[in-house]
Amino acid sequence: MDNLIGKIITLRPLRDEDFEYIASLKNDTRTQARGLRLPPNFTAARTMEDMRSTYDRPNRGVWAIETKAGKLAGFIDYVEDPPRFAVSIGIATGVEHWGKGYAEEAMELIMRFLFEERGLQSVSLWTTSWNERMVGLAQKLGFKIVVREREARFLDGEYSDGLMMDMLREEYYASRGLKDELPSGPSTGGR
Amino acid sequence: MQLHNLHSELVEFHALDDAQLAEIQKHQNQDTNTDLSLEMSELLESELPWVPLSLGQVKAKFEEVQKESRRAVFGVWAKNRFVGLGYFAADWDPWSPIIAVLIWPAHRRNGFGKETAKLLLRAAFEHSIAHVVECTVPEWNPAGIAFVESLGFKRAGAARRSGVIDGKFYDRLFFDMLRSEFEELKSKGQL
Repeated sequence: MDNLIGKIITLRPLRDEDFEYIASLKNDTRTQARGLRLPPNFTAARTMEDMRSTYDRPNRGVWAIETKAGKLAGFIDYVEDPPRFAVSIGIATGVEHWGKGYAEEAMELIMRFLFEERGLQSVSLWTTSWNERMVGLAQKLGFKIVVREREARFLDGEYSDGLMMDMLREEYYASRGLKDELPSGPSTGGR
Repeated sequence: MQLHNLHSELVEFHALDDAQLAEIQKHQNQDTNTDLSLEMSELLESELPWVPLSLGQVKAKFEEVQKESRRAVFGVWAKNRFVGLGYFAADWDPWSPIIAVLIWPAHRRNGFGKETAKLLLRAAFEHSIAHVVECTVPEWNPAGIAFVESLGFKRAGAARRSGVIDGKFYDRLFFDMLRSEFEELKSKGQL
């Protein structure tokens, strides 16, 4: 994975020494890092083993989110489903790094990579109505709520809806004032 | 004493043995004038529905699907005949399992699908902790959409651009049913 360089953060490949911090994110229920388990009992070794086997496959990617000061702030990933036109992304950043724009820039960088370099048609993410910060950030970036699974999660003693949010290729290009150089693919409304 | 109520006068669930796998292979490779191979690919998460499969490949696909401990696919039998498949997945979260039903085209319109779905809903709500049951149907399957809506599932949204059929992208529709809705439908004798 190449580095993806932004103004305030850089997305770089994960290193062995990152997993202590990544495990701490997975153990912090506020970060909603992928693979939430109760009780949260991730160790650095286990996290490294899980993540290496998860991402060491085609059509998947993961980067560390590193601040310009060289501090690890979290990670961001994508999984293609099905290959070549749709991906699902996930992100987690440490609570001490919230509110600084790191997640916003990380998501913008990964979308630029997926739409402009990989030529994908659709980028989606799953979150919950409980995670208002994520929903707000995704909406700000142009994602729409397209699936609302009622009460599909139970978090903080409350029912929470499972939300799928997605953004289509043309929405990405239109919202950023960019011209799409890719020849148009299949039309929509199959059958 | 009856240990469970997962039986009905109309259908029974049986494990898939070699004879059924051979029949599945026949359906997959020969029912090319129907959408069955597409529906099967949905169930087996196979990305090339038009590819003829060997018996070994069919077996491997079914084994792959069942690798997770709370995910199962099994045979649906009616009147001593193998009429289709049932699918139950609670591996991601037992709170919100996913179900699917696939009846061979020649056996449709006999109530086998509805009876299978009813048993799967009972499995979720009466034999596990499920709070909401989910299912998905691609946009190109109007009969499937009408079927899940007739059961009482509510539309939760659509993942846009989920695949390609006949040269066009299609959406994947999501549906859900809450425990309270299941109980109400059951009390009215509708499930």
